[in-house]
Amino acid sequence: MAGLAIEAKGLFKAFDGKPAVDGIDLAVPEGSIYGILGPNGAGKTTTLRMLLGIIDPDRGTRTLLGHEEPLEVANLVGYLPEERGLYPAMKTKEAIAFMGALRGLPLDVGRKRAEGLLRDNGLGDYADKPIKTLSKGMAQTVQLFGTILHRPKLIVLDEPFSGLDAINQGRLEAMIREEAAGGATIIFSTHVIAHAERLCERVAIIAGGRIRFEGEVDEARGRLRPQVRLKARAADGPWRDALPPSARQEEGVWLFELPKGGVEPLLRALLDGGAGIEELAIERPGLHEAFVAIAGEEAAREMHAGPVGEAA
Amino acid sequence: MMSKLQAAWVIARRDFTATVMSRSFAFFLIFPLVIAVFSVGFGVMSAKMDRQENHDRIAVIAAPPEFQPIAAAHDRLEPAFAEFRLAELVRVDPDYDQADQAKSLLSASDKKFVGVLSGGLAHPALTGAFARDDLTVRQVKAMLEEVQRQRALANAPVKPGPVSLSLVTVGQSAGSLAQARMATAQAGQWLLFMVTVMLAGMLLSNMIEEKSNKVIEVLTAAIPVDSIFLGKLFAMLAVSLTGLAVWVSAGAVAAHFLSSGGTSLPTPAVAWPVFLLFGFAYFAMNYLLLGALFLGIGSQASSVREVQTISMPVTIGQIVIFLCATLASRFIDSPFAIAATIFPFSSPMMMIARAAESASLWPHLLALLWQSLWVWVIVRFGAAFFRTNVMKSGGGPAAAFGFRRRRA
Repeated sequence: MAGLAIEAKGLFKAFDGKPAVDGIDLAVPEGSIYGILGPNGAGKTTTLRMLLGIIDPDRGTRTLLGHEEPLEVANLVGYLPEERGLYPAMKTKEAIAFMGALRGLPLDVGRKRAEGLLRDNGLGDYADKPIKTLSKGMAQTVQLFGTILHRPKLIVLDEPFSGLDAINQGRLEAMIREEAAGGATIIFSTHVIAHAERLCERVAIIAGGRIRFEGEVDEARGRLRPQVRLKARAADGPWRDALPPSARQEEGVWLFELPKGGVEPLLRALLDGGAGIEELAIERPGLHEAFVAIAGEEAAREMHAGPVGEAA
Repeated sequence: MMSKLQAAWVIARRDFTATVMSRSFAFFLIFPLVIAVFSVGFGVMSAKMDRQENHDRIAVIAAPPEFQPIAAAHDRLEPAFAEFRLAELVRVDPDYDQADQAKSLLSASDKKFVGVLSGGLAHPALTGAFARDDLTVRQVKAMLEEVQRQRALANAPVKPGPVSLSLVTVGQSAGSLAQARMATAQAGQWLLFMVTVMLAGMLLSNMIEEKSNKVIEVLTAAIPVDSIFLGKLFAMLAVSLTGLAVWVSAGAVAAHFLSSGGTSLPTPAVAWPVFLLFGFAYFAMNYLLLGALFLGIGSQASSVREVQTISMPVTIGQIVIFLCATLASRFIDSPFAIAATIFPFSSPMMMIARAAESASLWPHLLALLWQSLWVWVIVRFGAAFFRTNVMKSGGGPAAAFGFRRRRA
């Protein structure tokens, strides 16, 4: 296993006496794409802000690229905050270069790279226009360019897909993959499971300020047994004994977890029991199902309730 | 990792460029010049009006022969009264009942008499709303005494000739120099105070803008809060020095074209070049001290209204400090003045006054070091306060000076 880009142990932070993050442990391997999943208010942003040193934890330790003091490696880190912040009167190119300069990139180099990024992404005409003339999506893209301009080793994105339309979400996913392919470690928070499922190798599921799961996406899925969908011609019969007690019927289709014995005994029992199989599908559970199982129905409902207009 | 100073430079460069290139900076530059032009214009007009309109007018109920010596005495005394302005005399023909006439003259709203002199030279009586030692009463008395003197002299066997006073002009005397230098000192203090107040306000709105843009999160993730504060402070200092350079140049040009041998400030004790150098240094210190304080305040507030509420006591405090410094500069070696020199927020104003009044240079070195120390303390304190109250982080202001809270 590669070294760790981020390691956090027992991070705890309370605001006005209420714990926002309660003993979080994280291990983000170098070069990986890592997702922090959780509903709004789960503690994702507070966790990221503690990791970056924007706020100090009340308890616990964190190391960023091997350093306990995050600002020591600020030049190797890129950060896109949840609340996007750009100077409205600043020219687009200058805004990107300024963000690079904050991370130690000389302004002239930053300007050249900014021009290239804008041109390559169809925003070349906006290079010398003020930020206030850009659409929300464009401004968000510009801020993302500022985040990666200095070619950081670690990119931290807080709800990066929030506020983007489907096309820009796709572009962002591509950009994240591209940065990861270039060797950067990417950690992002999201309440949209689909993005994490498509992008991440590892995830942390947070609810109520606590880690409910931390590990590989497949490991999360592996916590659930495969799901069986069965449509039988026979309404009743001995085959029903093969179904687990938790099996439920929705619109004439039986849904249940694959029994521990596996596919073969189930299939035999159904055939021998006279089920009259019309349709049988064994599906690997998705991250969503894993999330529901790990974080609970309520947390899942809150995930879906996220900001208006966002796709799950 | 960039050093704190490099990081502060990144912030200062952006803020300076953004401010100087903005339209509001043009207004910032023009505004004091417009105010100055209006003030001078208004001052000239009001002085003219003052001369024309604001004489005390006294009605003299007398026949022309009786009035003539009083008017002559008035004309003789007038140059000596200068800014105290001898009351203007208006002759009125006597009526049958002079007491009644005096009352009606005083109540005539179109004539605006402050008093009525009646009874002639034998039994003069001044009617008006005066106290016994009012200036106007003393003036009238002086005029009547002058008439008496002239009459006595007219009958004297030997008449005194006009006094020939030979005037020996020297550059200055200890008394005049001290007085004049105090004027320079107070002018320096006033300028320091006005410019600092104006710029500290700009710094406040800058911080509010930063917070409302949410850029502060990007900044604090990349560089230390100390650097953000320092960068902003020095950017505004550079902006203000740019402004000062423009205003001083405009003032010099105006003085060149408008100079008519009028009054000018006397040479300060340390001479003009050093005084100007100190002026810039103490302006910088005064601005940095108050700016750091305002920045700390501005970072706590989330709206302009909130800033106004919080900064009101500070502004009142500034005015009190300015008034104290002005008073203390009159007695530069008094314990009060020394205390005001040590107190960091009045120290720059006191020291500019000292530069005008005393030629010693070493106290300035000490003062600049002392003031720099306080700038550092306030910036650190403000940054720690910002981290604790706004970012909900850090170990509080005590941590800014090395007293870190132990983590469990």
